[in-house]
This record gives sequence, C-alpha cells and structure tokens, in this order.
Amino acid sequence: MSRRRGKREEPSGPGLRQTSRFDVVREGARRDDIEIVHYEPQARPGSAAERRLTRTVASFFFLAGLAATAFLVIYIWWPWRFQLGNGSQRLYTPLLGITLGVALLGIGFGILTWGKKLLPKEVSVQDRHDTPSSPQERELTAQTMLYMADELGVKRRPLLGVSLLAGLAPVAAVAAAPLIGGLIEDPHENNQLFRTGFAPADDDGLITLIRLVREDGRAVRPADISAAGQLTVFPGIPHGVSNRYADSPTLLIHLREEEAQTARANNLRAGKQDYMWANYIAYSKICTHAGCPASLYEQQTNRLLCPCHQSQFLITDNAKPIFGPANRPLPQLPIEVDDEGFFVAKSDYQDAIGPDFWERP
Amino acid sequence: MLAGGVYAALAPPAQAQDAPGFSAAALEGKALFEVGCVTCHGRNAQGVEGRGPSLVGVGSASVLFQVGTGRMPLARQEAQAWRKPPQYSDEEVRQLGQYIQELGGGPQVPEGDLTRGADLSVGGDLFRINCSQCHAFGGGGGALSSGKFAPSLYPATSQQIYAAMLSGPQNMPVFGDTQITPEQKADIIAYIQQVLQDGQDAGGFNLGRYGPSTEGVAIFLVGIVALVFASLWIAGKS
Repeated sequence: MSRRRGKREEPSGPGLRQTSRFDVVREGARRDDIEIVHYEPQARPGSAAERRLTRTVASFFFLAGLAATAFLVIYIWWPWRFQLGNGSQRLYTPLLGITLGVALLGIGFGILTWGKKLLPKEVSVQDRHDTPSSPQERELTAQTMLYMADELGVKRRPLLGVSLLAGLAPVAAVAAAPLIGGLIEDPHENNQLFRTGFAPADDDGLITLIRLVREDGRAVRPADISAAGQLTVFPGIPHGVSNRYADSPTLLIHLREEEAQTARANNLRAGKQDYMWANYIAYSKICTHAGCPASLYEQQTNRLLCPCHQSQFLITDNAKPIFGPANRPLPQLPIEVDDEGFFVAKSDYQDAIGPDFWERP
Repeated sequence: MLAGGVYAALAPPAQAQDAPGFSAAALEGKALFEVGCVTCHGRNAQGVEGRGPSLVGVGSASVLFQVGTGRMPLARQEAQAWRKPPQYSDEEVRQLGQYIQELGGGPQVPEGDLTRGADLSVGGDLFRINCSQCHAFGGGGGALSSGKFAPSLYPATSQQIYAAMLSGPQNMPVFGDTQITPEQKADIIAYIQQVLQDGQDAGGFNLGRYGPSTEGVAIFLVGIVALVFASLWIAGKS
C-alpha cells in the first residue's frame, strides 16, 4: 500500500539487474520512506574472524542440542523413585533443571552472538507520519479491502462462507467447553448435596444405621479413643473411604468430662439433644468456608482449626465459628453405640456439608 | 529438751508415711521435684491454681516429653512452652518420671528400640492421616490459634515422639495405644526419623519445606531480579 506513496521515479526494469542485491533492498526501503543511514559488515566473508564466530555460534547450538538430548535421556531413564539414602535418584530433579537450563541458554547465547557479532551493523531511519492519511488515501485502502473480500468470492459462492462458519464454530466451542461443561451436570441428582454416606440404609423398610469406620474400614469402639483424642471416621459402606463419599469424613472427638458437659448443654440449647454419645462428639471434617479439612484439633482450648484460611470452630459450642472467614458451624453428626459396641450414626447430617451454595436453605 | 526428744522419736515414721512404697529412683525424683517443680505444680503435684496443672495421672511419658525437651521448667507463662536445652540430665528426667508415675500412674513410654520392625510406608500413611494437618507434610510444624503452634519434628527423638503421642502435650490430641497401636507408633516414628529428619531434599534447598508457595516466591524474587539485570545488560550492550 505504502509503495503508492513513493515519490521517486520508478527505475526501469533493466536497471534493477545491474545493481547488487543490497542496492535493491536499499531502494525498496527508500520507497517505503526508510533510509539506511549506516551499514557496516562486521566480519568480512571468508575472514578468520568470521570462521571463529561461526564456530562459536555453532558450538552454542550444538551445546543446546546436547543438553536437550541429555534432558530427554535423563527424563526417561534416570532413576527417579524415592528411596532412602544418597542414591542417584536424588540428582533427578537438579539434573533435569540443569540440562534444560543449559539448552535454553545455549539457544539464547547462540542467537545473541549470531545477531550481535555476525550480522552487519545497520541503522535505518523512517520518518514518522504526524498527520492522518489523506481522505483519498483512506478511500483507496477501503476499496482495496472490499476488493479483497470480493476476490475471496464468499458472496458468489455462499457454500464457502457457510462451511467456514459451520466448520470453525465448533472449534471455538472446544475452547469454551471446559467453562461450560461444569454447568451441564445437575448438582441435585439424588439429592447429593444434602446426603452423605451416613444416611441410614433403607432396605424395603429395614433401616440399618451406618457404622463409623476408620480409614482401613475397621469399626470404632468408644475405648479406641482416649480422652482428649480425635479420630477421623468414614461411613462404613462400600467405597465409604473413597472420593465417592468425599463429603463424609467426620471427626470423632472424645472430650473430657467437664468439657463434654458444656458441649451437651450447648447442644441442648441448639435443639441437638442426644447428638453426643457419652463424652463423644462428631463433627463434619469439611470446613464450611471453602471445604478444606478443618481437623487441627486443639485439645486444651477445644477448638478445631482449618489450615487453609484459619477459621476456628468451638467444639464445646456446636462448632460455631469463632474466628476466620467461615460463617456457619460445622454440621454435627448424631451418634450412638449399637448393640455390638460400635459407633453408628443415628441419622444423616441435618445440615448441608461444606461450603455454602445458592440453594442451601 | 522434751519437745526435741518427742520430735526425734516421731519424725522418721512420719516421713516414711509421707512416701509410701516409693522406689529409690522415685525418691530421687521426689527430691528433684521438691526443688524444681513444687512452686507451680504444688507439694504433692496436685497443681497450683493459675500456675501449673495437676500432674496426678499424667504418667512418666509426660515428664519425659516436657522435661526431656526442656519445655519444663517453664521460662514464663505464655501461649505455649518452647523447646529449650534440657535443664535435667537423662537420669534425672527418668527419676522425675518415676516419681510422677508412682504418684498417680498414667501412660509410660516402653523401653528399648522404638522403631524395631517398623514399616516406613505404613508410617507415611499414618503420618499423613494423623499428624500432617498440624505438623505439616514435611514435619516442619505450623501455626495454631492465638500464638500457639505445632512444633517442628526435626529435633525430636523417638522417645519424645512416642511420649508426645501417648500424653498429648499442650494442645496436641492424645493418640492412645487403642487408637494407634505401639506397632503403628513405631511405623510413624521410623517415618519421621528416616524420611523427614534425614534432610533428603531433592532440589538442594528445602526453604523450610513449606511447599510450592515459598519456592514460588523465592524463584520469583531471585529470578525476576536476575532477569531485570540480564535485560539491562543486554540493552546496555546493544
């Protein structure tokens, strides 16, 4: 486009052939209003300096290639599994870092040396256009654009345009898929936001209370937890100790006599009569703020802390939040001991587990 | 004269009644207790209101941990007792523990090698389930509420770790033998000592083992400064 702005006389065809390629380039630049004011070849072609610089640049690139190959070899074959002692696996990470670093530095230094030492030094000046282009010039450009659109022929051959749209729209949708995908699944399927693994099993009217089990599936007896001790328990159902019931982990805490009395009195006040069994109390382990495991149990101050955002819950007062961003107590699981002496959940949690959501009552 | 004679006649049996059936080690411990601990914990270790709790029933495990790690005697009343160079020798700690044990019973740390037959991978599992929430995955410890904290596990000996699990010092929950069996305790101790305390940090610097946040900040600060100077250098040369 800008060539049209050229004010100089266009040289005739035969004239171009008589000049060197540099002259052609200079002339071309000139027609774009760019003046090459300084040009200085750094290394004379064929000189010793040039050969030396070439070797330097080449060795940088070879070094990069070598290091990258070493990276791949180490990545695939170097022992990386953790084991005790000063084995070679300790060097795995540092070696990956060093080889990758050397490879990238090699490329960088190679290109820099090539550009700074081998290429000619050149200073070009281009005038700035202070005023906007003339109306005539703008009209010319606009017409050129329209001409290009016409040349594409979408108007005359609509199939091309349609196929372009139909073909490319799904490609755009691919980018949006991860954002929209999360909205497709119904979060209320099987009432899952309000149900945990502790919901009593109902087998044709035969209600079975769910046992509290450890991470290895063993049921828990009261004697298993000392006073001022805590245990993380899961629902004693198939896959109860897995991510399928990620909302179910529960803290079973054995309070001291005095604190248990306070907790029981506060339970009563909150309408949670008989949620505790003897001096044992069970709260959801999932923080009501952002869903972290709020399981830092301070046995002297009777607080549960959440490590993520420092929310604190008072165990002896319905796990009400007393510090930090959480604004809702940890849900409490009503517990008792069955005929065989194992802890069971009397019912499911009565509050929704974990962080708030829109439809939470 | 008469009074003195009567005193001399009565005093020894009275003293014997004061310490019924204490072993020799416990008597040594009692002597130490009456010099160093009595101010806060009371004459018969029953505790003093506002100063120190009752030690009846805490067991020798508690003494081993609190005195053995230098936390007791307490330097001052504050949120939490700190680990200090111990004031008592191992033998004196044992004697004090024996006294408290015979006075009120309580948990005891077993004798011998506490990591015999330990399974490291089981220990790692148990550590991540029971310990890591407060002591952090790398064992470096972490903050609790109001100035309290879970201490670093690096300086802890196997006896001290065992004693801490049994007795639940300060705000640590108690992990009794019914919850974590002695064999599982051995697994955990072995994991802490052989994996965490060994200082095997693949990257070279562990930066306190706080995890990716610290490492990210470090590489950001160091890396960005280096890059700034590198680009200045490149700009200056061209």
